[in-house]
Amino acid sequence: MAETLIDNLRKTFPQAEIQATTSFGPALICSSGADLPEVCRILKTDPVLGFDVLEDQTAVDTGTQFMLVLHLVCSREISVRLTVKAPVEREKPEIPTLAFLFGCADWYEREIYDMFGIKFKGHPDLCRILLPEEWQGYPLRKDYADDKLLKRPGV
Amino acid sequence: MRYLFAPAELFPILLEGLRGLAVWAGLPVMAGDWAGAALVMFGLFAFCALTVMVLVYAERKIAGHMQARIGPMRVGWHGVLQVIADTIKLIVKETWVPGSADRWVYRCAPYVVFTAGFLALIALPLDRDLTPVHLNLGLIYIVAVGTPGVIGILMAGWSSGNKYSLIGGMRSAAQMISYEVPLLISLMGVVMISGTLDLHMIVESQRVPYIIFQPLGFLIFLISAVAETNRNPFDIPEAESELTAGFHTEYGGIRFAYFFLAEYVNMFVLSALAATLFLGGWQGPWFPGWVWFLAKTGAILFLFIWFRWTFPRFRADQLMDLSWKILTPLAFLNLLATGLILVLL
Amino acid sequence: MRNLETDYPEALKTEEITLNMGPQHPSTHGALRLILRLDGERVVSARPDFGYVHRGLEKMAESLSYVQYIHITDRIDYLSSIMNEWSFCLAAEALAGIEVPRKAEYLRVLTAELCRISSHLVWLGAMGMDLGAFTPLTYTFREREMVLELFDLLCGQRMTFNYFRLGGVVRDLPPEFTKQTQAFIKYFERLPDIYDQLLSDNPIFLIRMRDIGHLSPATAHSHAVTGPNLRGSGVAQDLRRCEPYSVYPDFDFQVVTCQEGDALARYRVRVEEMRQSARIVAQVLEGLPEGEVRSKVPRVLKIPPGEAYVRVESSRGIQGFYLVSDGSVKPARCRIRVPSFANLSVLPQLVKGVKVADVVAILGSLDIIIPEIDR
Repeated sequence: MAETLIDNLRKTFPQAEIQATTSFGPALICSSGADLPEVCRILKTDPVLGFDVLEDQTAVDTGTQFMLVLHLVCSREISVRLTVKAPVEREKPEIPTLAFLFGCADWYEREIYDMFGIKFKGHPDLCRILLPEEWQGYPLRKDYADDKLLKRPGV
Repeated sequence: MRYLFAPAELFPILLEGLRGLAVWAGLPVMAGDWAGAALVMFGLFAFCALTVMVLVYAERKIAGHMQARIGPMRVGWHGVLQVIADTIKLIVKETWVPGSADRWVYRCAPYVVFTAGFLALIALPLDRDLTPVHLNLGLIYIVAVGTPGVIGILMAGWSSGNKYSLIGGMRSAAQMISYEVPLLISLMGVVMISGTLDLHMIVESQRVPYIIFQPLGFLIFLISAVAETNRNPFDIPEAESELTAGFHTEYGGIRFAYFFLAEYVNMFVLSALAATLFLGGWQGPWFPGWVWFLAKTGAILFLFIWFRWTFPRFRADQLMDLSWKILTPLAFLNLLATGLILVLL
Repeated sequence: MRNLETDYPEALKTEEITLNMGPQHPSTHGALRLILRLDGERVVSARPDFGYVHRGLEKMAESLSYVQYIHITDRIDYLSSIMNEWSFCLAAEALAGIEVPRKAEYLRVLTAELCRISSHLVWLGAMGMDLGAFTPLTYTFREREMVLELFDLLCGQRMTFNYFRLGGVVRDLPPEFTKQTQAFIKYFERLPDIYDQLLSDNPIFLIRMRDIGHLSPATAHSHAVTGPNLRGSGVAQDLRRCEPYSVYPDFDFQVVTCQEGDALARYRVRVEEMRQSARIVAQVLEGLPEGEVRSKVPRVLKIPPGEAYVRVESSRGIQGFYLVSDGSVKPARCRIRVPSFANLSVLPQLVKGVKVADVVAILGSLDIIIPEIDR
């Protein structure tokens, strides 16, 4: 099962880097963020793959760049899972939106914009979702500084 | 049956006394009449306030026990003084007018609503000889004076300058106008049987309560009455979970208290009307008439309370459907059937 | 005959109004603000606005050790806190490679299912409340109180349990717990019938709930709707069955689905799920194995670098933690996947064209919980 999925992925995306096992199915790592919508469109519409549920979309600040992380599942078979990753430059954090592919991507991307300041090109309504409009900075970036943040005693 | 204090006889004596007092004080006799009228109004208001207090307490207790809790317990024995404490709180609370409100309309609205309910009270036959004002068109009077209440609700909804209030006011107007129709038509069956609009005569003519002849009429009346008083399951004008508090969202203190009073007075009036028309009013063995009257009214009021604490709420359009598509045709059918039977017998 | 609408457009000119529902409103279940565009009583569009109780839980995780963070997870979805603890512990255990003793797994299932019952009970009462029926709330809260008392007995807490630890649970069942839980389950068996009398057999309730907020499976998948909301649309997806974690394969229960996809279907699914959870609880108590409740885990736990996304079936849907470790005692990134966030994102579609009163009913039937959305 898992092997055929990986074979299919290799066949469909010959250039992409594929990690065989993570905690959430295989991982497909796009070489650049610009490919992401096309990759997701294929993943969603391909009759064999059919990853049509965007269960979660988030980002990770690795220090040198942001990594957009998508967790996709099949609506037919919820246990078939796939992690998709796409890098985003720190200096110019921009990536095309997925809002036209997945209904929930709209809000997920707003949250990522809110927390990481990644701009989603083509997003219908990109604004802060959890924090107030006038908030300065993007809290989940590693270099985020706020004087009001309490220093915790070491753990 | 004669009682120690037959108020109907007591009042002329009192009035004579007041007139005498006026003459003695060098005022025109008219002053005595005015004082007498004021006294009656005061008495009625006291009666009204007392009824509402008892009702509110009863409602809270009954609701409590229906909901697996016990209701108010702290103020007084089993919480009997809770209502008084609440009343005092409402009276002494600061009254203020929201900035966006239409000030005068906002201020007048609660009194318009209350007066409409209050005026109906004076024509109710509480006992054979205990009717504040005996009118030979009593039934018409009661249903007529209750109607302007909707204007007060519209005033409140419009003048508050709040969208919830506005929607609540509009809903209320639509609802009350719709339910007036089946309400009135359901009463006509009783009028046809008794052949009079005088509430006294209607009660006198009931050898057996009219509910036996008019079960459908009673049912329609009851449902319409619940809708007319904006109570659950028809409380869409003040639907708490949708409109926070509907037309009285922006009201507080004594003005809110008047809305509150009006709701319960309306409830009392309509229950009393049901008791009078369908359950034989003050007629009944062993006990004095007013006891019977209050007991029958109380039974209907209990139904009101029971409905409120067990039913979910209708949606506005479903409510209209119920009125225009079910209750109104049924009421007409009831009228027709009553007429046919009366003609054939 | 003249047509009023076409011949006199000026006379019937209407305007849309914007109605702010919330953030302080009796039926938005917390600080949720719905910006409704209304045409009379009909909703033209709805835009949820939230974040009023945002506490920065994801940021907070970056300054706390794994063990310290467990009790924070209770605050994500305060009605089913056990599920939050569970998914967090699962994610951390997956990263660190910690084994969980079999008895601990049983206790985890036991508490999670009790939690599901109590969460659904709160929802049931609130649903009645949204439709204007006050009494179901007091009834369901009476039963929920019994569950909370069980939890009180178990871990000394009624809401924020802090019962799970990495590698197990914090303590074994107290001696009287089994008997009390069995008594509760026995008592609980006949309760759904009482609720039926109060709500589901009530014609007013039925006409209010039926055919509103119709959610098609396609829309549900597009918005990643999960849990009872998805099962109410006829999709039999339940992680406990489709991708069994812990010891769920040991138990016999049904994945409840309803085909209609309307608010009533979601209601029926949840009521039936309570019965199924009660069944699981009874089975856990019967088959409870002997042994340790917690495996040996070092006090200062350094978790090897890596990442894990692990999810569980919470009361409201799929709840998951995405943890990234850089090898230190604290997570480098902690992402919380909450069901309500995705479930709420479908609301603007569901309420288009319905009446204001239905907005409340649909919102209630989605069973969202605000602290979980805001995090």
